[in-house]
Amino acid sequence: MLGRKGILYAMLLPGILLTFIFHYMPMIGLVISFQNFKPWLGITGSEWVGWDNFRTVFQRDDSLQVIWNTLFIACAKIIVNLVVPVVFALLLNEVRQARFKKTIQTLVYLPHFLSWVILGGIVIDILSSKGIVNTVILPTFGIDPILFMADGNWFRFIVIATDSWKEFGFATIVFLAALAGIDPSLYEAAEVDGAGRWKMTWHVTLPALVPIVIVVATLAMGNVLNAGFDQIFNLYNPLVYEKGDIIDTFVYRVGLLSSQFGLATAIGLFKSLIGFIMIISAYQLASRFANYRIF
Amino acid sequence: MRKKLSKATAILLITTVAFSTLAACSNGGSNSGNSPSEAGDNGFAKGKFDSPVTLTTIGCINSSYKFKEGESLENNLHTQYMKENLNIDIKYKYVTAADQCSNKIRLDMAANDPLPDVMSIADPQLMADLIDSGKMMDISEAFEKYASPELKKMYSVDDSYWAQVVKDGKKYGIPVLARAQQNDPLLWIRTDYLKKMNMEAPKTFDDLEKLMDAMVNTDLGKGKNNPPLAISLKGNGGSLWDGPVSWRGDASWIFGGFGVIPTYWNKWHGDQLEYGSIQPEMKDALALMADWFKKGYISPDVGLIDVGKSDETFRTGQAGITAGPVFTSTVVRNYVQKNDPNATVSPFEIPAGPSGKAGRHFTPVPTGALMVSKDYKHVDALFLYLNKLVEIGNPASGSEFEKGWKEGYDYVMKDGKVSKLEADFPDKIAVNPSKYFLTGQPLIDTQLEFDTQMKFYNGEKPSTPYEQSLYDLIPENERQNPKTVNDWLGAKLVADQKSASIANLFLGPQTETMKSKGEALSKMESETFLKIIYGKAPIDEFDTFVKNWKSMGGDKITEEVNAWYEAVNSGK
Repeated sequence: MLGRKGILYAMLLPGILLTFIFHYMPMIGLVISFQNFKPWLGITGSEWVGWDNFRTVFQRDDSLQVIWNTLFIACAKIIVNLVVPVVFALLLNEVRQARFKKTIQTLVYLPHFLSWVILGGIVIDILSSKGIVNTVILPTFGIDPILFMADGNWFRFIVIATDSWKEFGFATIVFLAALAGIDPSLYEAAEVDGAGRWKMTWHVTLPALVPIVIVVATLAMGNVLNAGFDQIFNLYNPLVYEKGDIIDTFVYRVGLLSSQFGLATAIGLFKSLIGFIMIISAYQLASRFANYRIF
Repeated sequence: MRKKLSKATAILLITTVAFSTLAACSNGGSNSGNSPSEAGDNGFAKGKFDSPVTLTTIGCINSSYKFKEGESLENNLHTQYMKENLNIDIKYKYVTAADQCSNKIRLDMAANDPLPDVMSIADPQLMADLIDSGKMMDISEAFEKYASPELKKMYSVDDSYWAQVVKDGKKYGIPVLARAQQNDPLLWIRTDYLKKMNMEAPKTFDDLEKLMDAMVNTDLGKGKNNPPLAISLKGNGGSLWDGPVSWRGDASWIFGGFGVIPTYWNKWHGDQLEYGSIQPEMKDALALMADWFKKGYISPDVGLIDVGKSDETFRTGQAGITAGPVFTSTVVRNYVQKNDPNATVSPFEIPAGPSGKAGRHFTPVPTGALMVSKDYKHVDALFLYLNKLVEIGNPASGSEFEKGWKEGYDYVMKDGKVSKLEADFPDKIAVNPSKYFLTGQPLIDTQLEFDTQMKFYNGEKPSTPYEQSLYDLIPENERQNPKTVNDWLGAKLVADQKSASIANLFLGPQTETMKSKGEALSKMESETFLKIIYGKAPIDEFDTFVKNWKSMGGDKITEEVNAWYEAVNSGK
């Protein structure tokens, strides 16, 4: 009956089925982005409204602002979260003492496990008018107190900086793993050729890192419209809407809290579409210029 | 071959198991239908059913729910009592975190799962959706037939209690009622600071400004007050901003002093409902708040801290004034005086504003409703249960509930006397079984707590078990002089100033335009107001806001709100 290959394929079956059930079947639900969806009427019974939901969103005065905020914050996060871990991994890689290296690695990795609900409270506290920054740090440099969380530009900066602080340890591990995989003979050869540490980093380590950097960057492009709901939701306030309101917080307020599911789904669909286009084009660029293929 | 076959069988088995688990999951919900006992069981008349009657519900709990070892919402002294004494089996379809509840119920609706027999719904939007879905029971008839006279009396005080659940003259639920004027704010002031500065409590905003100015500029032993007034404007994070109106650290009274409450619908000018935040009075109120902000009377973080944080500045003594409801007394007792044993705090009436009168937000009495599934066969059981809750809420002398639910739960005996103070409990934790009720709170007359506290203030002693239990909440040393017990004095002041409380007359679900445009308008409102207060925008920005509010859908919303109001009030 089943050959050896057949059995192997059969083992794939549960995985494929689960992916189908949990990732493809729910796509049917995207229909509700064109409906005035009422839960008790279901997908089949709800009123069809065509592009109305999309129109409602894009006709708002602030929709462009919100999309721009999202792009700005998300792109800044993608760049910072690429540069900081790479640089940090390179630095950590130069550390010779294994124990010290491991300790640092663990320490910077820890914030990744904290929830924004908690961190949000801490960040607001530290940066408030009575927080340590405004009462201790700034006065020692003779700087007047700054209302960080009440100012849009500061808010963006803090969002990006705290996100990077929280997540760079996680990404560092990926790059450290890639660094560990570099063939030592390359370094030996470089040394024989008279290269110093700096030259080695530049001509051996970095080129070896390029593929993984491209993979990480390409996958990150899918998040170009995800600026981090839980972070911003826990940090923002009406004073920084102008610079800090993003698509997800907007959907939360407009779509979920007022139970306009059709509208929320419409924005979700829009986001997925943009994410899809970004991943595809990033991949194309990567394979054309860096000659690198993921799939 | 043999070996290969067994491999294939194993794979098949795994796949089957995986699928049956999935199938079981999706079936799990539908088995919990109710099992009606035979018709003709007139357990209602007898006060207890002969054969067990099932009442399915759901539990929405938060961190304030405490349980004794081995107990849970599904099985505790409350469910056991109802089983033993009424033969009603309260079964929970699920118990989940309160903030997840609305979504879970909506999912049930979307999946066409049978809804539980009885649900306690607080989210007005969900309530409206449930009514629209046609799956809820009109309980008017059952209420007439089964509610005890005491229960009926409780709900006959004010027709507006029913406003949220009435549609087309039908009552789709039993409102859950808070105590009357529960959150109507008073001004709470550190009287020890007043004494140090040799000042009086403010009667007007001008007095208040002088007081705050003094607090900012006088060293009160622990430095100057910074800021003197503890309020919060952040709002609860809902789709519609409600920053100025909050249950603690309230700011509504500042606007109230000008004769208007932002975000409230009322007949401000004329006989149509209008939106408070766009009234011309708001401009002066915002200008005043901007001035206070500049002078440092309110926190520079006022727009980003929630009520908990603004409370904190009062608890630690940084702020000498806050606005809060009667039960701020417990904050004073448990925090302010713990932090500083010499601190004294008293409630005061809200000072009069430039309009010559004081104004503050009125707390809506209904906080949600018990909604019954149309398919529930034993609505009599629900009423038997509710009637029992009424009995328990205000027990007769000699009743088993005279002292409370059970020793060690909500009371302990100390020196032969009942004590409800947490400090007297062996583990310092009191468990309040009324949290486990379907209503989530005791079912008592909305005025009773208030009236009782007034009685105590006037020097009367408790005469019923209920009164005794309220009395026991106050530590003995404070009770010596009833006129200075903050809880009782607060009740009296709130009652004295009842006319200052301004109600929100729109209690319905979000209207169509509110759903589509409301959030955009509200976002604009919160941004404009906070920017004006922070001095980031000129005061004239308010006029632009009003114009935009009207043209961007506000006028339509006003129409819809008035239509709702007429529909509700014409039914009388």
